[in-house]
Amino acid sequence: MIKDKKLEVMEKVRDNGVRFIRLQFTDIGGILKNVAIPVSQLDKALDGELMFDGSSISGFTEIEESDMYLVPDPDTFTIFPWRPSNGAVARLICDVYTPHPNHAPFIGDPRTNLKRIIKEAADMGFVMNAGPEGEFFLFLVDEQGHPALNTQDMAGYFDLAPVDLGEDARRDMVCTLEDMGFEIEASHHEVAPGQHEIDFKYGPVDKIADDIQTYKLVVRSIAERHGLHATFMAKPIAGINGSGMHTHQSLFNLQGENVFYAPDKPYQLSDLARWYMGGIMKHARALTAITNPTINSYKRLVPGYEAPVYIAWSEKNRSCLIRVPAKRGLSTRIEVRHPDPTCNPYLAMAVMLAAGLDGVKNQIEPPAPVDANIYHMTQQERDRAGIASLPGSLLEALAELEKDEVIKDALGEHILSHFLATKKAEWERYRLEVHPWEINEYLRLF
Amino acid sequence: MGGKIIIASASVPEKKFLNDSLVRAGHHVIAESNNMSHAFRRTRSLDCDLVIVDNNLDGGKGLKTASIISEDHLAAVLLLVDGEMFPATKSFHYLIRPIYYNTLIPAVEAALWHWQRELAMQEQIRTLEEKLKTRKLLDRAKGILIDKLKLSENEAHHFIQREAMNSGSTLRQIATEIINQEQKIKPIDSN
Repeated sequence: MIKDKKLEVMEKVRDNGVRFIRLQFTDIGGILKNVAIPVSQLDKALDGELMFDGSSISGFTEIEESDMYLVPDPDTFTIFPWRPSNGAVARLICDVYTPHPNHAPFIGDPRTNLKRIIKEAADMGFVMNAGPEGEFFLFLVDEQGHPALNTQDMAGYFDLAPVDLGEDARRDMVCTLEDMGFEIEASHHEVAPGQHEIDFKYGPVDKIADDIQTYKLVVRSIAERHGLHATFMAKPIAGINGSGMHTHQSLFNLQGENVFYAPDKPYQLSDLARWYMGGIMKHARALTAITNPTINSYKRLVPGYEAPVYIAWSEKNRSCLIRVPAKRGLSTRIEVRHPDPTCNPYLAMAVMLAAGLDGVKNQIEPPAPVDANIYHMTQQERDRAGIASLPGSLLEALAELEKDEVIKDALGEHILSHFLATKKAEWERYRLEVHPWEINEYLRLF
Repeated sequence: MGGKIIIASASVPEKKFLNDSLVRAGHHVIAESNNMSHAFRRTRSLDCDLVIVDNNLDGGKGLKTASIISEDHLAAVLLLVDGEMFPATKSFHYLIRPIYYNTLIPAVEAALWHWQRELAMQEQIRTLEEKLKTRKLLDRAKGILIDKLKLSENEAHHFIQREAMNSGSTLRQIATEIINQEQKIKPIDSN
């Protein structure tokens, strides 16, 4: 590690009375993992000498070569604002390294994998910027400490509800995120009762993927302190809106100019922007397995709840996969609307970027925009307009993923094979279960 | 005047004992809770002075409950612990079981007194910080007037006072206005 950066971290630790440091990384399933170390181990950790047992992390390595290293990224040093009395706690996000061959970045580490795709983009002269909008529900916790499905309130989108526990908790989340260096652009009540959203400023995609993980941790930790349970599950309650993670994205060149903007072109969108959309749309059915990776994710992607079902784009229509928000100039961007917050952000960003880059490389033209509400079109009308639909289930999405070489490459062999194996096993468990719906439907009938 | 107190305990007899003792000593028990989440929701939504927490709450989450209430400055905390267990933190009061009326009430009253004093001090700090901020803004605004309009310090002060009175604003608002408009104030020529 660069010596100055290391000294800077050590100095901050000393000045703020930090006693413990959490070394964080994300497994293939998107779960944030951490190893807490006392300050006395920090020196060793910053030199990337701290080992952990990789075979205990699902999808990392087999038991026979289980030693792995955590190499902290000093730019991610942040002090958690919520543990003041007992000595502060800080975190460092780490890359995972293997000892063989020769202390190299581990290809099964989603963060390392994202960097590989970012490098591909940089070689083409592009930097991807992303801005996610992660929605979540706040539920009450019952007597036994288990989250219940009761929401705290009955307010709706943008409502100025009387101050309730959810509002209070969300305000606290915003303050905490700001203390951790987030620039919060908006925080509001979402469409469904108990549903909330906090938007933070867009940025380079590697930083944003880290931020999404931090955001989820903060939301859940602060909710707990308010006696609530925060969930990012895609569709916790049938019949009301689910939680998405709409992802705004654009390409900048290395001079910091937005290359999606072309004032003299139709819709003021450059060829690159169109091709990027073309790439996303071409690979949408395969990359959905990554951006919507749970069985429950597909219960959100149904008509009628502002979630996209059909692969189309539009400037205003929110029933499409891609919306192009009205802002132009430096803010020219596309909004991909189907991801949900259960996704592994490192993998989701990697596959979307790879799909977009494939569009740019091969100059893939997207079809014409669709401004009609696609939910109200008939199957025939959709066929005529060439509008395909997203996969209807995780199983269908996995099959698409296996057929798509570009998305498979974006994941790399190690991550792909592990992802497919765990997701197929998840489907198998679901398939073997007898669900309450079946009992309600059939028990009395037959 | 009694304090407004929440009891968070997993033990029914202990809750009853606490409730009876507190009421007898003239305090108000405004809520009871037998798990951590419920205790947080009550503490945040009711105006309370003290939360008495049983360390065995919610299968041993008493210490966590007490720490969060104390860290987030929601109320004073009195943690009830078993003999062999001492909390590592010194940020809140605790009492070692067995608990008697004669040990409980003085501990409750001390916790309440410290809480009131802490609140008063926080309020005082807040007021002083505001005053300091106003003073700094006033000094900067006066500096601008002295520099651009060639006023004496006294005249600059009176200028701001007069503007505040004429427009029904505070000194701070006028000072901020002067600082924001600095570029537009035409300097008086010094020839």
